[in-house]
Amino acid sequence: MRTETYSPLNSEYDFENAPCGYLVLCANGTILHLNQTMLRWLGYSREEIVNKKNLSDITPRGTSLYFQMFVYPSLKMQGYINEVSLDIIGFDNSTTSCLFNATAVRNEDGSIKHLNAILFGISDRKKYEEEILQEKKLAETMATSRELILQAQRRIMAILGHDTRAPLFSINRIIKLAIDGTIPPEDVFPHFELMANQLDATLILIDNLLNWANAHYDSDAGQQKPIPLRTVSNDVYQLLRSNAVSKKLFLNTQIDPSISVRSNQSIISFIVRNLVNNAIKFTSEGGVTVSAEHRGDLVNITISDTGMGMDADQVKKYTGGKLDSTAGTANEMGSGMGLMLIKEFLIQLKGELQVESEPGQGSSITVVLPDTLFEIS
Amino acid sequence: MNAVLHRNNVTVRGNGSQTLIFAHGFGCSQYTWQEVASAFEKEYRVVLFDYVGAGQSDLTAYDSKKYSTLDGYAQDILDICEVLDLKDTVLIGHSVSCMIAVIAGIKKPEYFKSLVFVSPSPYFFTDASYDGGLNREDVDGLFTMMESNYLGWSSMMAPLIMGNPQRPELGDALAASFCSTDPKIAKEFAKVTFYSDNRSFLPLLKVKSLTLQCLDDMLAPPRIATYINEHTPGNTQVNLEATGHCPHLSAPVKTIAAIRDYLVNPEIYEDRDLLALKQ
Repeated sequence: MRTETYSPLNSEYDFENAPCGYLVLCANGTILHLNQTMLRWLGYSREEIVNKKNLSDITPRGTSLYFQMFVYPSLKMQGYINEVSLDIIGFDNSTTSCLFNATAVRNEDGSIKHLNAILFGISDRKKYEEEILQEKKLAETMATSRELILQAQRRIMAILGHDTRAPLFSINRIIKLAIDGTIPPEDVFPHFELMANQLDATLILIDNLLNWANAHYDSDAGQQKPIPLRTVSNDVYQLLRSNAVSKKLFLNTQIDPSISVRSNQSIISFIVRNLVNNAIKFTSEGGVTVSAEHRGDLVNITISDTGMGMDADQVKKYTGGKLDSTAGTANEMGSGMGLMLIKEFLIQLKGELQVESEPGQGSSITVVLPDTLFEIS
Repeated sequence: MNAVLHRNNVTVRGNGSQTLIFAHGFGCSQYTWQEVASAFEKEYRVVLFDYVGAGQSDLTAYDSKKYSTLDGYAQDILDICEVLDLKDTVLIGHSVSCMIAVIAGIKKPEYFKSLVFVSPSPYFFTDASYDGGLNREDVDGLFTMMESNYLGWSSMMAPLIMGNPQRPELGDALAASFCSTDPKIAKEFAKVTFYSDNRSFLPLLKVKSLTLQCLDDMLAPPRIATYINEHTPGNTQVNLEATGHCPHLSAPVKTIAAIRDYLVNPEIYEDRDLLALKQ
């Protein structure tokens, strides 16, 4: 077997073809010298580069800014810089990702004579790092949105527990009293009406909750067939007609017929239904009007009533989501959850609520939504 | 130590009745002024400081909301003037500090005798009547570079480097890390620096000012100094034979000479401009 001997005397290290780029720069970045490896990465001839090109000519402009703001000051102040991750752009616009290390060689007065730099190619590692960075960013966004969803869910669970317990407790009690004979059989039937009334609010609550959960499932379902906003409003009226009829209230619509709901239809319907339901609840004379208009890049849906209205303090609590549920003008019960879920949805849709109200003069609640959710014909 | 002086790591050196305040630019710390400032210590009182988030400032004082506009930074300079009872100072700012100085000068003109702008720019982007020299792609590229380069910053090193100006044994770490900043704060400062449009402030300035302009500066090209000169009452402009964005580092001798000339005789450059016009 033949053996090779390595002798530094007759075999100098081949810096020209070293597995890294060597670069000598002026203090302002002009390239004074570079090795073959560097030239190969760049695809220029030596004559095209030396004394003709600046480091800023072979890096993106953002990198040049970075050098002006961080790298040159560091080289001047501390005499070296290590591990700057950057891209070198070649003649054919190919990029080579590198780690850049440099030391400053100084004149006697402390000014920089030139900079010795070395560049290691890290293209593969860079791709891997970028993947990690992307994953990290994705994980952070997901963690944030997951936390928001969790917070909403915790609030909803608390309301749900609180608001279903009371009616179930009293129904349970009536049943037990009937079983042990404390309530005589002939008096049981009148209690049914009481029990049914109590269950009404609970059923609305559960309905809302189901709607909310379903809306979460289908909100990403992509393009839906547009439904005229008027139809959405009329469907809501259909559903709530009996409540309005029993209080002798009118239900009026003033909606621009050119506005159709394109996406998140069930959510928008949910919002309108809950606001109309509230309006009916707090109105004893007159009625409720749903109007809508397209203005700028927004669609404003306004639910106004001729009801009892709110004072400034209540409006503040209403918009802040802190208004507790109170009984309606016909003693209708509520859970306060409708408004809370509306607020959750509006965050999701990037919309907001605007409230105008005067005690005794009625309220006017406007849902402001981006017009991207709509189709304007 | 006074809270403001601790917050901004304020250093006061030198003798003299006239006070010079040096304000560093985006990216590094008061150390960038070291060479230039020390040249003035014999005849002037010299005040140096770090913006909150930079150098050895008190990082716990960083408030994203306060520092989301340059006003927050200008307020810190005014705080320092108030605490040190400074009036009629000369405020010398580099890069973004020039516009911070303009805002401070408009708010409290009595604190400042004059302002010196080193490589200033009131707006980095371009619109119909103004060419700031940069576009969104350039600045996004800078942000990407900042994201992939933490310059020795790690949360392990941070408590050592920051907020320990009284511990000389950290000297080497300080020298080696004067450009290190918490990446989150650096990014927010970069956003304020690059996205602020301060052009409307210039005509409101009542304090006279001097612009030091480098020959080729991609962040502040010479035409911008001309724009500032045309829109700022009492501004004079001097071109420095220096390259890049940091003449106080690349050409400290020329920078010192230009500032000294202006301090000794503020009219000197105005005369020169008149001469140039007559010729």
